[in-house]
Amino acid sequence: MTMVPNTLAVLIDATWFSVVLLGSQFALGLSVIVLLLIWWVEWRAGRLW
Amino acid sequence: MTIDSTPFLAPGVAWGLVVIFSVLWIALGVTWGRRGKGDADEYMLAGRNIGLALSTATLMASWVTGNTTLLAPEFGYRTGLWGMFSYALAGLGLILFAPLALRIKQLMPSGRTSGDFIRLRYGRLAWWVFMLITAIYTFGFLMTQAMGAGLLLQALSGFDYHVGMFVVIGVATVYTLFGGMRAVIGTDFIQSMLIMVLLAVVAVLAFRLFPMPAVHSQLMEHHPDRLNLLLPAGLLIAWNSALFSMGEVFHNNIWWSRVFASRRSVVMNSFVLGGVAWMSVPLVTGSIGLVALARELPLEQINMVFPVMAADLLGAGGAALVFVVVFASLTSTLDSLLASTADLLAEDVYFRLFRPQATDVQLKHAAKLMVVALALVTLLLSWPRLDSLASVLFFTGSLVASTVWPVACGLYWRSANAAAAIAAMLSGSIIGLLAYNLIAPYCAAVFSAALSALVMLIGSRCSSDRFDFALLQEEA
Repeated sequence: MTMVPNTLAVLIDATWFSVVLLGSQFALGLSVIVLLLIWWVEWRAGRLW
Repeated sequence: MTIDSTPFLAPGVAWGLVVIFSVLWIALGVTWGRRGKGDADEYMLAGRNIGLALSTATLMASWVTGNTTLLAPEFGYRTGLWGMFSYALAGLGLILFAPLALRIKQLMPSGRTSGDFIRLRYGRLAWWVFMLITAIYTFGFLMTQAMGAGLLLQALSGFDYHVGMFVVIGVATVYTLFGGMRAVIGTDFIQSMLIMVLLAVVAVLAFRLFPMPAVHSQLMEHHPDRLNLLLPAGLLIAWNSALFSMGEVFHNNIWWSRVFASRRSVVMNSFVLGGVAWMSVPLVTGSIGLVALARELPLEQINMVFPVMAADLLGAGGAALVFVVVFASLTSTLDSLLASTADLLAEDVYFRLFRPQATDVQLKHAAKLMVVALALVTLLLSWPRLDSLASVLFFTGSLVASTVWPVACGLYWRSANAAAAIAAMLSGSIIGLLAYNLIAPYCAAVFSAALSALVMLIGSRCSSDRFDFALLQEEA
């Protein structure tokens, strides 16, 4: 059995860890806003359905 | 915390939430269902003119399943960052299907189901193989959602397993039955909004109470492997997740019905936007799993990590938020599965196979009957309680991943042919099942997709067949 050497491990640092987590929360919030905006534009134009 | 121990939410509050949202979904669904011409196309495909907002939201809501709110945090808890990333990569299925969706809309302006495409493109034998795969997948999917409903509502609110399952299936069935695809897509918009907003609230509050640097330092000290970006198992799971999701989206009528229901001008953008928006959901729910790990929260049932964390950090309010998210996730997926599978059975089996002379009214009636029949079969199959749903999910991955290339090649290559498609689906499924049993469940889709790609490529290149794409333009 071949052991995987520890040098192969690349651990994410605290800054990038925060970037990933904050980025995902930002993307989720932005998705809500964009979707509501598109809905509003289509609703005003009578093009929802 | 076990599934049978003290619930997070008082049963009275849980019943109140169930009644409020059930009445809302049914009232809106029935109201929206009365719009339009009232013919079979209206019932099955919401009139074929859905705009970008509703199209994107219905893709999002259908793809956010009970698994996304439970399994993604479990993935984060068990495998760390790669667990989150790999689950999020399932969004690639929607994004990569976007150009195919436009192509489908161009080639089949009157098409109704994925089965229509396979039958017209590859013939009846390939259709049978395809329908067998899609039937196994769809019933597996329906069962995981139904059982998930029973288990989750029991864990969150103390409902009896069968009562919780019956309530969720019952509500989704009623508004799907009376409102058809228009009810499904309309309620999906509200459900997707609820899911995204409430998840964002839970995540922001959780990280305010337990800041990110603190989570990182705890993980660094006690579980550094969860922060390893070169985790071999994580990389393999990520590949599997992406290919599995491609198989699910490329073959299943949930997504094909959205293509046929949407306006041609929005169909590609809605799949891209829906996929990108969806990817943020498992990343956010997965990060909750990391917080639980950093806090060394004792968990007897790891798939309950998200509700446990929400209740632990935010009290009864957090439990209520999770309850609403889970209820919306389950109903939005079940309604889509019921509607699109009923369409597939009514169009492909009842109409095209047994009653080609059926009228429009009879077809619509058949679709309604199929919704009820599917709900009853799902209840029956899910009645015995199984606590492990992940294995059911991975099992179907070996089958659906084999359909990716027959579908994709069939849309673009004139030389793609029936023999190659059948051989690709069968060989891919067999190797996928072997990999599932002999290697690991999470690599089944990789093997299945790889072999079926090879078979499809060789089979198409060696063939002198040249398909005429105009043959796909069958009258509805």
